[in-house]
Amino acid sequence: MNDFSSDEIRRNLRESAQDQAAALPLFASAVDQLLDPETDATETDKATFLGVPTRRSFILGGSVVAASAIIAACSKKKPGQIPVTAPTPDPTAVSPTTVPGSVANDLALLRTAQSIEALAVFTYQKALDSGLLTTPAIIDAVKLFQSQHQQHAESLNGPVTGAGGKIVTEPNQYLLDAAITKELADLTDEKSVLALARDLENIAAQTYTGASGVLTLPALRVAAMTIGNVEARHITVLNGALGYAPVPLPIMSTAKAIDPKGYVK
Amino acid sequence: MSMSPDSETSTTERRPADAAVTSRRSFVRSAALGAAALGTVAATGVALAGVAGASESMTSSSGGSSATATESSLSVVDSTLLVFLHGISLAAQQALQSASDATYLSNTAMERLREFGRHHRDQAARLAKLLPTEMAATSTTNATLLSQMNAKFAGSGSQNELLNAVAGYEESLSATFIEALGQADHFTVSEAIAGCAPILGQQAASAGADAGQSQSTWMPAFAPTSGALTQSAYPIR
Repeated sequence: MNDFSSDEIRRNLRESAQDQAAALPLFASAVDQLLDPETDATETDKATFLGVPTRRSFILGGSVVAASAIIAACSKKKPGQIPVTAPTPDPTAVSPTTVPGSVANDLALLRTAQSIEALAVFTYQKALDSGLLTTPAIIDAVKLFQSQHQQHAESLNGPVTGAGGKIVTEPNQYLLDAAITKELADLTDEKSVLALARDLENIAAQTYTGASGVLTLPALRVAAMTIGNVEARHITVLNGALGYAPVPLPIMSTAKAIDPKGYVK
Repeated sequence: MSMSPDSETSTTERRPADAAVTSRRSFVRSAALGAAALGTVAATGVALAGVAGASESMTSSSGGSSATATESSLSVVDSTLLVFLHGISLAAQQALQSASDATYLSNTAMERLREFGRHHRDQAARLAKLLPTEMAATSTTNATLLSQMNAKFAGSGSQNELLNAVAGYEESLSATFIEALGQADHFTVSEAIAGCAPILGQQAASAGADAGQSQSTWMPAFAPTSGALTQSAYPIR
């Protein structure tokens, strides 16, 4: 059970290599196309697709409710009091860019996710180049994971640019400085590579888990989880390879999600 | 970073700073999502204000723990969604528990199925925590799914066949929870769902690998959303 024998994994990896390359997820093509600045889709079309107000009305509404939240937070509420929102937006009251759960925060999460994908691609390449990997099945698995992270990164291009952001191709510097660089330097054998990979996949999976809970657009939450769910599957394989239970826990934590200090804004 | 399995440990702890702003965040989220959930695409300022007002009663708990929606403030969309997900989780738990009694299973496979069943039970419990007390008390196993899973599992004649069936249902449940993220209204609901979805993917991968499925099936580049269970096909009692 879950010993992921070398032959099995290698055969399966070969089988799926072409499928993986061709497999663009629904969200990637749909969101990418829809949010492409050069698309024929109108703002209303985009809003309709995403199931939200148009961007303008969303931001306006966001300002209204954000301002209301500040007011509500500053006021002493009577028991059972029904909060009342401000009737008109006051752009000076609060900037939506500073409120978590905002469109701006969405962009930061998306760009941060791209930087983590880039970090994974970078780290797996270092692992492959290290000469420490000797088991063919593990080498194949690392190559597969790396290619999937590359696909994940590319799938985020549309959402990032659609939200007015710049695509991130550089590995997340915060995580590099905080842990990965040292861990790469400390690698001694195949098992240490697997342990590093597992740590990295946990950061990725837990970051997507956290993001899937707070992204403001339904389509983005779904999209994030179609990726985070796969990072979790990577963990399962690595758990098996390291001798752990493949699925040890019932709920995915977010304790190891990237610290907001490492967000790429 | 730890090598231990505890690195995935479930926790509801949040950074204090996060907890302090959860209520504000819920305004922005709920304004857009509430309107979307109600099918109000072109939401007006009045509608947004209404949704935002409703969401204000969803409070942050003290002590830096995760914010929770108060019982009375949970939207119909969210409560219905939670009851649905709770019911199918209980069905999966019960079906896997029964399936684990199959005499042809190895000890490892038997333990694995029981563990997966416990995970479904724990996920159901987490979802139920968000429901109003009365709804949580009456929310029960999804009978349609339980019947279907029991029949499928009982019809399996070998460990491989059973694990294939389990993998298929775990994949469907994974897709269901992923889709549900797009339907949730309040962020406390989407957070709870988000904590469950990756585990379902892991269980699909684990069972699929054990069953000898093609690797591209259990380790796709992107988790599928096709095959998600719907409330119309698996109605809440």
